Amino acid sequence: MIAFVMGILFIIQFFVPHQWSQDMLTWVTKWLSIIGGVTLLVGAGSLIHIHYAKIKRRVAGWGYSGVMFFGLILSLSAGITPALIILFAPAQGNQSFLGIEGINTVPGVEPGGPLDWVFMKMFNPMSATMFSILGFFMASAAFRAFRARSLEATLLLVAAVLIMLGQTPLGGMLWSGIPDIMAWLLAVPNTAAKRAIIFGVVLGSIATSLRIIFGIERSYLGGGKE
Amino acid sequence: MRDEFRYNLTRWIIFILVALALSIPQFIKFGLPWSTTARVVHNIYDKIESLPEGSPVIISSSFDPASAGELKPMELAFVRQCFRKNLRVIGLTIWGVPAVPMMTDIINQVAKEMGKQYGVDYVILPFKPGPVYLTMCQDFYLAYPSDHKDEPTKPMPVFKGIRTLKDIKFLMDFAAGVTIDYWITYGREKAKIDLGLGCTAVMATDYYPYLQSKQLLGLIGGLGAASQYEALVQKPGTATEGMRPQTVVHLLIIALIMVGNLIFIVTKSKRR
Amino acid sequence: MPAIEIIGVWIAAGLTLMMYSFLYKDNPLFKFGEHLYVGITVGYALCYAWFSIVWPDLVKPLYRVIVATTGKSIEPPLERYETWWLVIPLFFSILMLTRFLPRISWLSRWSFAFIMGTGSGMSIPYVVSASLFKQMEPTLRPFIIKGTTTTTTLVDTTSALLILIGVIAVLLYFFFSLEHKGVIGGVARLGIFYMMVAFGAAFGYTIMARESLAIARVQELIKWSSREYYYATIILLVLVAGLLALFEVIRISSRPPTSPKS
Repeated sequence: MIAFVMGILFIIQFFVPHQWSQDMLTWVTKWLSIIGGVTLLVGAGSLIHIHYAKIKRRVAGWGYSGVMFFGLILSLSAGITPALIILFAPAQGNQSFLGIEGINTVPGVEPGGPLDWVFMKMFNPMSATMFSILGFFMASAAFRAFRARSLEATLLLVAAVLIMLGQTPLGGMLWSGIPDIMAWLLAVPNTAAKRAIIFGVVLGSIATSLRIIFGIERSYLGGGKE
Repeated sequence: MRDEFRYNLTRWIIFILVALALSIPQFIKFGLPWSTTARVVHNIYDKIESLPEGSPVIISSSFDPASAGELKPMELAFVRQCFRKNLRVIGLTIWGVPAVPMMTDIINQVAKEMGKQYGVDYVILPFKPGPVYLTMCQDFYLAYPSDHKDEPTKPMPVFKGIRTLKDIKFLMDFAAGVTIDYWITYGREKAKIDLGLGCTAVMATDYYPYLQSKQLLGLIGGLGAASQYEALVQKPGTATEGMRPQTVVHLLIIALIMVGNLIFIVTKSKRR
Repeated sequence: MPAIEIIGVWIAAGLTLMMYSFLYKDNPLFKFGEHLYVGITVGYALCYAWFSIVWPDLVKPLYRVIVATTGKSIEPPLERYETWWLVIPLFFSILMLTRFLPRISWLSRWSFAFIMGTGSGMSIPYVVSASLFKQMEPTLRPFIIKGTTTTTTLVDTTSALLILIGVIAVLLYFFFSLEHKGVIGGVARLGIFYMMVAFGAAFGYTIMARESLAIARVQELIKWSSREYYYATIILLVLVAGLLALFEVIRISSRPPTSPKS
């Protein structure tokens, strides 16, 4: 019912230029932003619950869940401790810590604070490295799996090779036509295919939105009793 | 067991070759100038050059450290150009929590180099989940009542004359996700704002339809385009440095594909 | 350089190499790094949600509204968004948190329904306008694109025509209600060719993207191998390789012996 009312209301809102309609849009989008912030807390809580259950039941690999909690406590304390120092012991503020003045009074996620340090020195490298590993696996996959078995596969391969050459300065050095061919490939056949795919995706998303509004699609509510 | 070892050995040899292709060109410096700049990259540069001094520009940073390798160089070059033109830079993110420190780091770095003042020449706004782009179309200060340091935004000189998103002259989204879809669907539709996209190479091909429909003014897709932008801004950085190993590794992968296909053809003809 | 910076570099280099150890095979070092990464992300998200969203946009404004309603003066004065209407997001936020209490967790569905219903209703008209109509328009017109010379007019017009043919061909390929035979089959096959070029371009770009990320990591590792950072990368590389060898020895020695054939 809530989904239906809000859904229909905001479809109609798009066509109503009256100030009340615009104000409603303004306020409700602001509220969604706030509720979204609380949803982050819910998501984090769910993850904590899963790993706590693993440790409690001593399932295989439960030690790694302990590592997860160590990381969690590390980042939480880095974020919260400065706020507590400011609140309860401001005199402890501007002490030098391992070469940086006052780092223990930069609370939360502000740059220069302890949480920012944890993010830059621990989260940053691990996150970047995880995705960069794919670079190695792609090279291995290109050697093993990329075969010109048919006309279509050959077309794919030729387009890929032209793009790989055109995306570096070497392409233009080998032959001045490569950047132009690359630009044409992207602007014409690629645009046509991707546009058709966009149409399909858009029609699908409209259908899903209507299903949510009319209550046909309820998987987002989760399972369990009413 | 033997097959598994042979499979793993081939894999490790390829990994070592890739590692060498990535690292050796970092030490051997050779020039690789671009013969031409892509039109789609030049469009963004020309747009910023055409803006009068003091025009407000939004930089929407929608990436995390995983994509920083591609997006950080282009954002650095873009911010340099904006500060050189004395534009007012508003940094925000609609993507997620990890984007804020990345964006803060980049904008602060260039601001310090070029002597720009926080709150006057630039500002960094916090991440707000939900359709904040729609709220911005109605009332900028309702969406962002305070900056990332919890200071009120309205009194800041950098926001002078700005009431809604419509007052922004250009929005550049540096995206590793689908945030540009929201800016195109809501920002462009409602506020008619000019949009540019700097994205990872993975997503670049998906947004060419929006270039043709003029919903996007220009596109900087991947490290190659980032190095072209650095050349336009005349400040070579990590993207330009990265073109050497990029070229070598591309040649390696093309060679691996050809060797793989050669083995396939030879094996196929032997079976016949 | 401050000591904390050196420590940070050693930690960053160590964690980077631990993640790269996955290239050898899945191992305890990688698993350790993976779980540490998850924990830090969750903690960071929790801090961010509180300091940047819940506190400044809900708790602090509501507190100020309550104080102002009791008659006390507050500095600075109430902003436009600081009103009793904030009770509504407060209500839905509390409902969202009931997810942690199994007996009343069904109440959180109201919050999800509010978010999903509003989002779905908002998106339909905008998506139809921006992604459907705005994309159909350049596909269908202009049909003749006037360029600066006759050649550019011919090229641009031909390109526009090719785009139109391509869009129809690809859409027809996905129309499985009609059998792909005869003319329809031919057009669908043309659609496949268009898609193969698009996917080939996407593949080429994807390779570029992944290698770019790897280049950035290698640049950092090389920087950290310098004397300034006390040769962090080199020492940690040797350490990680040694640990991997040790894990391999432990794994092989703990394998049960194979029974001899009778």
